[in-house]
Formats: sequence, structure tokens, C-alpha cells
Amino acid sequence: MLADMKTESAQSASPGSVRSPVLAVSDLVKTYRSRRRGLVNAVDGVSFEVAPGEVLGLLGPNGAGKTTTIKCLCTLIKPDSGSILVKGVDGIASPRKAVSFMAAVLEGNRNVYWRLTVKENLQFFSAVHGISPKANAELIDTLIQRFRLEEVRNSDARTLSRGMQQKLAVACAFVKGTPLLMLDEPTLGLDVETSFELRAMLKQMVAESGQTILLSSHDMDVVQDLCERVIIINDGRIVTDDRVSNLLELFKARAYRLTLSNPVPPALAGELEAAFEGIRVTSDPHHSAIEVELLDGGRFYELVDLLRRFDAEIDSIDRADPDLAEVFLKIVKGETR
Amino acid sequence: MSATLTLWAGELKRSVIHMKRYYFETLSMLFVFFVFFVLIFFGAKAISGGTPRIGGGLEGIIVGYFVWTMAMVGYSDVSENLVEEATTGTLEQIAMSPLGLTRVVVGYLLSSIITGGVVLSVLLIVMMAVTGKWLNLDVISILPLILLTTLGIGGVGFVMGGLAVVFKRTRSILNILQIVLLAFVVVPLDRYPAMKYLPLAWGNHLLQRVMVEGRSIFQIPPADLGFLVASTVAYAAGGLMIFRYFEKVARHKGLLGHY
Repeated sequence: MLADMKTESAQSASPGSVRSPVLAVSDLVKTYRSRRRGLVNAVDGVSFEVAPGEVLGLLGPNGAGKTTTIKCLCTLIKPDSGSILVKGVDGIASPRKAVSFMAAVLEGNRNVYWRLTVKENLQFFSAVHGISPKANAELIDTLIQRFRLEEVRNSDARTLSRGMQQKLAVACAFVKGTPLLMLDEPTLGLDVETSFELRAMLKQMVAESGQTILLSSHDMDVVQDLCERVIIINDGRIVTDDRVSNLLELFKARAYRLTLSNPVPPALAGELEAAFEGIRVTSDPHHSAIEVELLDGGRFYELVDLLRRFDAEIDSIDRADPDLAEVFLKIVKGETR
Repeated sequence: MSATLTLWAGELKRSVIHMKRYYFETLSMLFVFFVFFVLIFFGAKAISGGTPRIGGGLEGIIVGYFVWTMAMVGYSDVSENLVEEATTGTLEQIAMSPLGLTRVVVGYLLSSIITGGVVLSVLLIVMMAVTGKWLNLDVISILPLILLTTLGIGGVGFVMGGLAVVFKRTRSILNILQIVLLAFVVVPLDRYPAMKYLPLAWGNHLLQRVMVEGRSIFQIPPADLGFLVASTVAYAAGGLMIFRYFEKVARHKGLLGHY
């Protein structure tokens, strides 16, 4: 069934446009009039494209404009200007045609009906998308299995744990079998274990169905774990649009920390400070440390050679690996670019 | 069209599930309706000494009350469903239906009329049994008349639902309107003929002729039936148009989600 979905979404693209974006957003603007804050530029000129099968992360602090952007794409909020193309369909002029290609899990919502069971919710949302639940029975069963909801399939959604409810909400988005999926903060409010579990399920689903996903989160781990590419958004504007691996590479500020078992002779300290800009040498009789950031990996050997000349005994060498959280903070604070 | 039927079948199923699984709520609603009826009926009987001058007498009260309860179902279910879904957040999910929010709310109305109709038919039988006034239950005549009457009042439900989505705190207006609607089935049309342009009033008038006076729908002048059809279409279509306007405002201001 999932394999069928994949071929179907591939076939529905017009010939010759196999790599044309599933979603193309250009110059999106949405301004609100807020009683407390006056005019708010929630989204201020956002443009990006999402390729078929891509999992794109939308990262940003609270209030950055992630949710407004996603709701504009979902046709729930009409942007002031800009264009949205979903599989080539104008999302502003033909919203109903555009939403037929997408499903969403929205943040802060229940997303599912508390008085329906797990299975009934899946059936209902299939019907809401115009797909007969009978014709969709196979996918419904598959989703119940994939999201490990077998034991609660006949329980009312209101009796489920928060984590189970969220899994159900995600399953209800998948049940529509759309080529594009929007997940706004899918792991928000979940405990660490459930968040990991849901991430693993999402990974598996994406690998099997080949669906394109736009995922927003303020949790760096989630984005780093699931997405190949990330857009960082702040104050309604895109500040970065790059592959996650590139971003991490960029910030692999090669930071080293060496500890020595003997004190650092003043001559060595002098030579180190002369050779390496920004190096920090702390020396006391029992414990000495050298901290340095090396932009060129080759200079590490220079450092080691210098230490050998002074017969310094190296106790340990540590290298700090950056994670997306640090990268994100640096970008949002405007430390780069 | 088949996708729309799929949607409506899904909504009907949800409505039936609610009614059955939460049967206690269904029963309490019936009970409240029944108690209210008993007060009205026996109150009217006591005041008038047996033959009240309202509508078609005591039988008329039963018919009018039945019409009003059906109207409550058509009117309240649509508007209250919208309020509730906006509060919980599911409104945004159904607003993303490729079939459009309009068809979704029409589905609400249709499934409420069907499930409500079944439940309230029981109430009607109970009312007749308790009062000992057995009315003409000509289903072929009653069904189209009550359906048209309730569909028309659904238009008012669409307007109130749209208002609620945009302006939020409208629950008190919703409640007041329920009582106002009760007045529409009580005021005698022969004395105030202009009242027939109001929702419910004309449908109630025709149902009185069938259920109290024992006529068949085929004995009702075509012009009278035509007026019912016209007012139903006008109220339902007008209500939907206003609802769509509110939906547009809500999408523009981003109000579908924030409650």
C-alpha cells in the first residue's frame, strides 16, 4: 500500500517535471494588526522550495513566524502577498486543489476527535479528504501497526496518553496519502522517550512512502535527526537555508583542549601564544591545559611538534563536536553571515 | 460528487457514534426537552382551561414543539459544532478538506437532521402518549415538510457558526436565539401573516395542517408548498453565503485556529 502511494505521487507529476519542486514559496508576506503590539510582520518575504522526497526542517525560536508560514501554506491563513505553488497549483487562487496534495499536524491543536476511537479517527480523516475509509482500509491498518496503536485501536482518543494522541495525529495526516506533509512541532510536549520513538516512526514512514515533509520545530535534535536540509527563520525572515551537514561542517570550529601532566614552561607558553592566535594556556604545578581553535586542521601537527620540542607530556586531547543547537543559536544571534 | 458523499457518510457515522456511545447525553437531552414540553403543555392547558388560543390548540403545541426541537438540532448542532471544533483545534483540520469547509458544514447539518430526526421521533411518540393527543402520523407528508423546515433553519445555524468563528464569544447570543425561535412556532400566522417570512413559521404552519388537521401533503396548495421550498432555499443558501464570507474573513485574519 505504501509502495503504491509512492508510485502514485511520482506519476501524478507532469512528464519532464520529475524534479520540479513539490512546494515553491516566493516572497510570502503576512502582517497582523495586534492590539498590543500594533502591526506585526509575522512573515516577511519568505521564499524557498522543497524538492520531491525531501525532508525540510523549519527551525526558529518561538514567535519567529514558523507557524504562520505553515498555516499560510496550508491555506488556513491567507498571505498578504507572495505566491505558493503546490505541485504547480496556485495555493492562493486555488486553495482547495492545493490542499488536496497536503496534510498537516498543527501545533497546539488536538488535531483528532477525542470522542472517536483511534480507528474511527483514521477513518473520519480519510473521509474528510474524500477517500472512502473502506477503500483506504489497508493503509489504515498499516498506520495503526507502524505507529504501534494496535492495542488502543478501539479506544477513544481522549483516553490515550499525550504521546499516543500525537502519534494518532501524525497517523491521521499520513492516512490522506498526500505527497506533501506539514508537521508543525510534532514532538512538542512529548517526553524524551516518546519523542525518540515518534522520530523513529517518522523516519521509517518517510523512507517507505517517499513523501515530502516540511517539519517545523524549535527542538534542534528533532531537525538534526530527521532533516537533510534546514531553513532557519527569525523575525519572519529566512536567515539560513542550507543542508544540515553543511551547517554542522561550517561550525566545526575545530576546538581542541589538551591537558598536560606537567607545568608549561614560560618559553613554551610564549611560543604558543606567538604561533596560535587566541590560544589559552593555563598552567599550574599539577594541571596544565591548552585550549585552541584551529580553522586549518593541518596546524594541529604544528601544535603537537611544538609540544614535543619542549618535552611536554600530553595527558588528553579533546575535540568539541558542534551540534545544531549551537549552530542555531549562533545564527539567530547573528554571529555569522 | 462521490467524494462529497464519502465525506457526508463519514460525518453521519461520527454523528451516529456520538449518539450511541454517549447515549447518556442523548437521553439527558431528550429528558430536558421532555420536561420543558410538559411544563409548556400542561401550563398552557391550565391557563386556558383546556383550549388554548395558540396555533392549533393543544395538538398544535405538540407539533410546534416537535418542529422547534428539530430546529434546535439543525441550528444548534451546526453552530455549536463549529464553536467546539474551533476551541479544540479540529476546525483547522476540517478546513483543510479539499472538498471545502462549506461542504463539511452542510454535512454537519444533514447528519444532525438524520440522527436528531430519529431521536426526536421517539420524543414525539412519548409526547403524544403522555398527553393522549394522537396526531396524524402520515410519514410521506411529514418527512419532506420537516426536512425543508429544518434545512431552512440550518441556514441560521451557518450564520451563527460563522459569527462564532470570527467573533468568538457568541454563545449567549446562540442561547437567546433558541428562545426566539420558539416564538416563531407559537405566534399564529392567521393573525400575523407577515410572520411567514421568518424561518420555521411557515413550515410549522404546514405541518400543523398535516398533523393536526389530518390533511395529506397532496391536499396542500402547490403555492403554499412552493413558498416553503422558496424560503428554505433562501435561508439555507443565504446562510451559506454569509458563512462563506465569515470563513474568508477568518482565513484572512488567521482566526480558524485561535480561540
